[in-house]
Amino acid sequence: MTDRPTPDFNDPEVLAQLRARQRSRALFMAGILIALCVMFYVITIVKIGVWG
Amino acid sequence: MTDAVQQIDLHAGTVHGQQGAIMPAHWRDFWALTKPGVIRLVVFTGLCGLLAAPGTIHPVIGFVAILCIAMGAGGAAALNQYHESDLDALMKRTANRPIPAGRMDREAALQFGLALSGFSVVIMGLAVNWLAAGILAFSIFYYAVIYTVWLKPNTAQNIVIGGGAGAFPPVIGWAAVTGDVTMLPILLFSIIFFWTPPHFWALALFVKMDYARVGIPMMPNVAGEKSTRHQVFGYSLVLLATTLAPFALGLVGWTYGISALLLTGFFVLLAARVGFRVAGEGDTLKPEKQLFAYSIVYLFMIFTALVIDRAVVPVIAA
Repeated sequence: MTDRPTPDFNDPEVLAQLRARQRSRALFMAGILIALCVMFYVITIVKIGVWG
Repeated sequence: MTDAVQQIDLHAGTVHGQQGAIMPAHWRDFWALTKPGVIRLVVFTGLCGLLAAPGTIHPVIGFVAILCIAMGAGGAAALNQYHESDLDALMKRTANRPIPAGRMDREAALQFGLALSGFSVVIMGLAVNWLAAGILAFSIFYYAVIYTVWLKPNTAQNIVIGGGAGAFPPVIGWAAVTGDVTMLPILLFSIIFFWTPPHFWALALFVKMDYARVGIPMMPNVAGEKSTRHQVFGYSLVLLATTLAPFALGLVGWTYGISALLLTGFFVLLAARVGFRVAGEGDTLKPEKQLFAYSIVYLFMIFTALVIDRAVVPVIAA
């Protein structure tokens, strides 16, 4: 068993780390979504033959 | 540790990854879940299948095909780690993976794996063609279900049959360009298929205690070291015949033929060293480690030779 103490989310330092984690995940997800939008756009342009 | 998050243990409440992490997983852990090292090989062989295929594909569509192969492999790896998190926690080599280390919830890994797998198949079908998408879907199912759930815990032949899972990428790459599957991609599949047993058993020979501890029936623990060593050599001979088959059938030229003979000949030599030796107590298992290391380089080189033969030489000759 490797039980570890539960972090105290009332601790400002822990809370700040939680927020930093959430922010990095949100930014990463935004990056993925933007990349997908660009990819779908380019695929569509290629498929309709604009670029031959 | 540089990561502030790691300064305070925010992954509490996890027992071997079974209870789930309290903190949301870092995006780097999702990346680690896809086994990037394996993806590199998968992407490379898929790209080689695509480049070796006759005909042309728009570079954007080719890029999407390779991206889908990578995403599919990543999704399958995530599903594999979801299923094996309890075993991973017991093995030194895998104990620091995101789930057993307690950095990620198992459910998050399952959702990520399913989403990535489904997404890769749908995009492949819509953007490239549905034959490539179908093979990709089957390869994900093969790895995540047939190999991980069924074969691996039940038979010492897990690596032999399961090797098929990693052999699909060049076939998918080929199908992405041509929309069909002919003899050469089947031979490319066979090369990876017969390369897998000596590659993995070389590894299993020097980490067999890890596998034995968690009850995975790897060949050295089931059939014994001597039999495994003989089989490593035996499969290397089958690999030699398989790699020479494309040349013998006239599907490739001399560049590939000579490269295959030299590269696989050296592979057989290393496999023979492993196959006919007896490792005593305190043996460093250097020949086994050398075979394992060379086997990775070998696969890169044999597929590079194929691409040079099929895609570069004709351009230079013309």
